[in-house]
Amino acid sequence: MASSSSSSSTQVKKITLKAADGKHFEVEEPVAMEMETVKSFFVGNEDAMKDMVVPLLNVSSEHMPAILDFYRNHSEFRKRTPPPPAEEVKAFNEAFLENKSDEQLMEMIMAANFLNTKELLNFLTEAAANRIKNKSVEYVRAFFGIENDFTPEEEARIRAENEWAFDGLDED
Amino acid sequence: MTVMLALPEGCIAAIISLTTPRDACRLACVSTTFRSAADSDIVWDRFLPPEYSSCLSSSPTTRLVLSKKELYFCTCHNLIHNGKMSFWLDISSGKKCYMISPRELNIVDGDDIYDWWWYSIPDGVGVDWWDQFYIPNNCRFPEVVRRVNLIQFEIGGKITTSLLSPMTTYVAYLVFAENRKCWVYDDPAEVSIGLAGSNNGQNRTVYIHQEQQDGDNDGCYPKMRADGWLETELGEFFNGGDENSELLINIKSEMKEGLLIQGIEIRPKKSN
Repeated sequence: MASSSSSSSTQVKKITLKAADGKHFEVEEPVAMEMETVKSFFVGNEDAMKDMVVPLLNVSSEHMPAILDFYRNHSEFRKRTPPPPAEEVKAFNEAFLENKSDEQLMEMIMAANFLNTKELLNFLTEAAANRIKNKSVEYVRAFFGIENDFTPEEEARIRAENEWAFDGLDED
Repeated sequence: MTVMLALPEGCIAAIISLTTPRDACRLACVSTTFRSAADSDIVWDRFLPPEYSSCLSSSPTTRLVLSKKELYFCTCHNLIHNGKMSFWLDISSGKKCYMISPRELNIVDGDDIYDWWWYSIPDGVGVDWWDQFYIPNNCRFPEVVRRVNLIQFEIGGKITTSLLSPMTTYVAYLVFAENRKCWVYDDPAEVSIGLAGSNNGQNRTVYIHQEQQDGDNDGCYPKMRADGWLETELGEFFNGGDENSELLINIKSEMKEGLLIQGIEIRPKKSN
C-alpha cells in the first residue's frame, strides 16, 4: 500500500482509469493501488504514472463510483487508530448493498474479480451467498441468469442424490 | 450495459463456500458449472473445521486420498480418544458433534456388578430373550452399560470446550434404550450442565422413561431417534469459543432398572 496519507492532499498523484464503456475516472494513487490489476500496470514502470490511462475492460462506469467509494472507506478504516467500531463498518457495508439489484451485484463481482481485490471480492461474494442461502435451484438460476445445461435424467439423478438438501426452502 | 452473464467458476465456488454444506449440495443441481464448483475442494475445505486433520488423525478410517467433500461426509462417527468418543460433523451446518461413550463417562460405582452391567457390542446386539431386552443394533461404541440396581444413581460427563465449534449453541442428550419390562417409576432425573468453575449453569428436570415419550414437546421427555435409540435433552450450552474450559454434565436419577446407556451426545441446536 502507498503511504501518502500524511502528506498534503494537493500533492497526491492521480491515475486515470478507463471503464469498459470508455468513461474516464481520475483516482488518487493510493486508492487506485488497492486494485492489484491496476497496480500491476505500474510495477517496474514508474514513468508510466504521468499520462497513462489504465483500461479496465470488465468494469462498467455505472459501478465505478461505488467501487471507488468502497476502496476509499475501507482503506480509511484500515488505517484508523484505534480501529473503527464494528457497527460503523457494518453500517457502511449495509448502505453499500442497499438498493443493489441481484444483477448489479453480479456485475460488481465480475468487476472485483477482474480488479483482483480480495477485500471487495470477499465482501461481494458473501453478499451473494446470503442472497441465495436456502433458496430453490430455480431461484438461483434466475439469480445468476444461468441456463440449466443438465439433461433431464442428469438433473433428476443429482437431485435424488441430494434429496436431503431440498426440505424447507424459502419461498422464491 | 450487459456484462457477460457467466461468472468464472472460481467466483461461483467462492460464493458457494460462504453458504452452508446443505446449500452446496442443492446448488450442485443448478448447472454443470455449479456442480463442478459445488464439489470443489475450495468449497469443502471451508466447511471442514480448520483443525479437522488433527481431529481425525487418531481415526483409523480416514484416508488421505479423499476429496474434501468425501472427507466431509466421511467424518461420520469417527471414533477418537481411544474409541471412547465418537466425532462427526453435523451435515447441514458443518459444526462439530460428539458422543461420549459410557467408558468415558464418570459413572458412580460403574465397576460394581450389582449396579451396572457392561455389554460388549456386537455380542450383546439384538434381543436378550430371557430379559426381553432389546438393544438397537447401530451402536457407535464397542461397549454399552446397563443399570441393574434399583437404587439412586449418578452419571457425570465432560468435554473440553475447545473441541466444540465456536459461536454455537449446543444441546446435550442422554442416548439410551430400555428394557421393555423395566421397573418404571415416574420420578424424573435432575440434570445440571455448565462450565467447570462457573455458577451460571443450568439445572433442569427430565424424564428418562420411554413411557413418558409422548408427553409435552418441551424437551424434557425422551424422543425416538432415527437410529432406534431414545434420547432425552439434558440442557443447552453456548460455546463462544474464546475461553477454554470444561463443560460438565451431571445426571442424578431416582430408582431405575433396565436402563441401557449408549452415551451422552453433544450436537448443535437446530436453528429452526
